[in-house]
Amino acid sequence: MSGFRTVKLHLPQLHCAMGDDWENVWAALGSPAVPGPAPWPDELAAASAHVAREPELAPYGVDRKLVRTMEKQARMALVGAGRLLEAWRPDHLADRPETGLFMGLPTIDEPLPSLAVLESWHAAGGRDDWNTTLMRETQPFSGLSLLNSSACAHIAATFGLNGPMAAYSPFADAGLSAVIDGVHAVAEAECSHAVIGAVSTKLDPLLPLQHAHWEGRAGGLRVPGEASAFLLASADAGRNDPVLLGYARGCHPLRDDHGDMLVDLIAQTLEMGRCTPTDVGWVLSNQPWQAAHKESLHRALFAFAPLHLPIEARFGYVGPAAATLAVGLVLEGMRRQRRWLTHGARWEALPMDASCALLVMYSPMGQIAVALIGRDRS
Amino acid sequence: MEKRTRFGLAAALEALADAGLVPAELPLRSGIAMGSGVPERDPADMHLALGPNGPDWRLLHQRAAELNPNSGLLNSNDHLSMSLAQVLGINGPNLNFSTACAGATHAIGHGMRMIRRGECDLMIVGGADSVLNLPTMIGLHLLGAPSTAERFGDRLCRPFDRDRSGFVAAEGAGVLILEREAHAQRRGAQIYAEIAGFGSGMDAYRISAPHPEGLGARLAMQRALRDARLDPADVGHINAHGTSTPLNDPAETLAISTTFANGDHYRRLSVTANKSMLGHLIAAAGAPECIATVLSVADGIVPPTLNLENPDPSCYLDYVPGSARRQALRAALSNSFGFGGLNAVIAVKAYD
Repeated sequence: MSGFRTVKLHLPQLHCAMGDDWENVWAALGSPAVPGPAPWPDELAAASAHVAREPELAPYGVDRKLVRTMEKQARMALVGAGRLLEAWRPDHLADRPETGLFMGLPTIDEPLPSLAVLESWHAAGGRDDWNTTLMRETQPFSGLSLLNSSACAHIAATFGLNGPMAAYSPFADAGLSAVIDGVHAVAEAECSHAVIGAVSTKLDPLLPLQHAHWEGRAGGLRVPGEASAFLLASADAGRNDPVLLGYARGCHPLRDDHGDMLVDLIAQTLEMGRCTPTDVGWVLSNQPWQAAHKESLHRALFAFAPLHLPIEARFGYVGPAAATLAVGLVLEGMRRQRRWLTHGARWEALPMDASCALLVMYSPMGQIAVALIGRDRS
Repeated sequence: MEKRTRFGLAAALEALADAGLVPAELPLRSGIAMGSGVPERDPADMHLALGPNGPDWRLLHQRAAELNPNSGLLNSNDHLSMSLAQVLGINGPNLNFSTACAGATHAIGHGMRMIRRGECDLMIVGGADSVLNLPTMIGLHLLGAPSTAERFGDRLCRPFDRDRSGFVAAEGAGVLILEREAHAQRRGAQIYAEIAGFGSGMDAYRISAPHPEGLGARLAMQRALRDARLDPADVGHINAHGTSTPLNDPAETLAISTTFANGDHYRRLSVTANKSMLGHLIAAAGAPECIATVLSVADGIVPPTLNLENPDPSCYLDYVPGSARRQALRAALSNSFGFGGLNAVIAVKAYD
C-alpha cells in the first residue's frame, strides 16, 4: 500500500474566473475576488457568481461543430487537460497511449427539460401535447451534453489517451477520490502517467435551489464559481515533487452529528503518511454544508486553526474542482515555499516551513475525503 | 425516491441477505461504491416554472417547496450510494462512479481494489439506473442509440445478429457484496467466486462511436487479465457488453479476438450477451452482468445469447445462441463499454 508515495504530483493547471495560469492566480489571491453577475435573473438567490471566461479550444484542433455539442463544463475540462498536456510534452500533444485519466465530475451538464421547451409549449398555448413538444424541442446532442462523462471522452479523443480511467461524481470528495485513485493507477503500473482533473458544477438557475436544499435552509447563500483544475501524476517526475502521503475516506449520513469522524479520518491520514500534526503546515478545505459538518470541521481542525484556508472564499463553490484546485494550490505553494493563510477576510502569503499539507473535502450529503500531500522523507 | 434508488436499495438488501449479513453486524470498515446515471428529472417539476406569462425561473424558485425533494431536479447522482449509507448505517468510503454504461463495472473494480489495498474489509458494490423516462429516452434516441425497429417484437434485442438495430433500454439494479477473503472465511460465508482483477481503457476515438477495432476494449481486457495475474488461456468465458448495436458488436468481437489471439484461444471462448434477456441497464448494466459471470464460474453454467438467429459475418465467435450450456470455468471476464469509449472489465476467478 505504500508504493503510491513514490508517485509525483506536478504541473498543476487551472481555468477559473481569476485566470488560467497559476502565476497570475497566485498573485491575485491576496485580493478578494469580486464575483460577477450570475447567468440568471437578479431576483434569484445568489445572483452573483465567479464566471470563468469561455475556453479557447481552437488551439487543440477541436472542430467547431463538436464544440457546439459540449456544455461549458466539458469545454473547461478539455482546455484544462490540454494545457496540462502541453506543459508536459508540447511536441507530443495527441498520442499518449499509456496515459490514464481520472476525473471528478458534477452530476449533470444540462438541465432537462430546458426552459426553452416550456417557452415553446407556452407560446403554442399549450395546444401541443407536452411530450410532442419535448421531443421536437430537445437539442439533437442533449444525449451527449447531459452525460457528465462526455468530458472524459472528449479529452481522451482529443489527446489520444488510451490508458486506464475513472470518473467520480458529484462533489468535492469525488475530486479528491480522482486524485487518490489516479495516484494508485500509476503506483500499480496501470499507467506511467495519470491526468487528474475535476470541473465545477454548471451555473444554471437550478443551482441556488439545489444549494438551499443541500444546506437545509432557505436561500442559496454560497457564491457559485466555475473552474477546472488539473495535475499530472507521474512515476518519473522531479525528485523533489510532492507526493500523496496518505488519505482516508468516509461518510456520515446528512442528518446526524458527525461526531469525531473527521478527527478519525485525519488521524488515519497522518498515520498512513507517517506524519504527526506538527508536520502539517497548511490545511485546505472546501466550505462545509451542514451545521454538523461545520462543527466537526471546527473540532477536527482546532489544533490546526491558524493554518486553515477555506478555498471557496476566493474561487466560489466549484464542486468537484475544489479538490484539484486545492491540490494545485499545495503544489504551487510547495514550489514557492509559500502558503496563503487568512487573517479574517484578508489573505496573506507566508513562508511554508512545514513538509506537508492536509486537504479536507466535504460533500453536502456527508461524504468526506482527506488527503495529505507533501515531500516524502523516507 | 427515484426509481433507480429504489431498485438499488432493493438489490442491496437482497445481496446482504444472500451473503448472510445484517446491516447492524457489518464490519466497521465497510464501504459503498455504486454506478448510477443521469438523475430522473420529472417534467412535472419543471412545470412549476410556468405562469400566466410563460415560464420563469423566479416562479420555480418561489414554488421550491412544491418540488419533490427526492426527485432528480434537486438531487445529485450519488443519491443511491448515500441512501444506502443511510439505510445500512455505513460510515466507510462512499463513492459514486460516472462512466456511462461502464459505471457499475468501475464501482465493482474499484471496490475490489479498495479491499485489496486494505482500505476496507467489505464493499457493497454495483449499480442501479432507470432511463425509462421521456427526457432521457429522447436524448438517447436523438443519438440513434436505441433500436426503433418494429420487427421482432420482444425479440428486438439481438446481440451479434445480422438484424440487430440498436440497444433496448431497460431499468434495474445489481449489487454484489465483496469481502476480504479472511473475513468471509471467518464468518463461514458462502463464497461464490473471486473478483480477481479489473482493467479500464479509453478508445480515444469518437464521442459517439466505439473504436472500430475495439482498441480501448482490448486494452481494458488485457489490463484486467494482468491485474488478475491470468494468462489469456485461463479464461473460458466472456460476458460481453453485447449491446445489439451495429457498431458495438463487431468491435467487441475484434477486441476479444485480438486479446485472445494466441493459439486462436478466442475460438474456444463462450461469449454471451445478457442484454438479450435483460435489455440495457445503462450505468447499472455491468452489475447484473458481473453477477451472471460470477454465477457462471461458480455453477459451471453459461447463459445463452437470445435472439441470435442469423449471425453477422463480422461477429464470428461462439455466442452460446439459444440455450444455456454447461461449462467448467477457471476464469471469466465481464465487459462493460461506456459511451464515448470508456471501457471497463472485471476478471472473475473460480474460488477453490
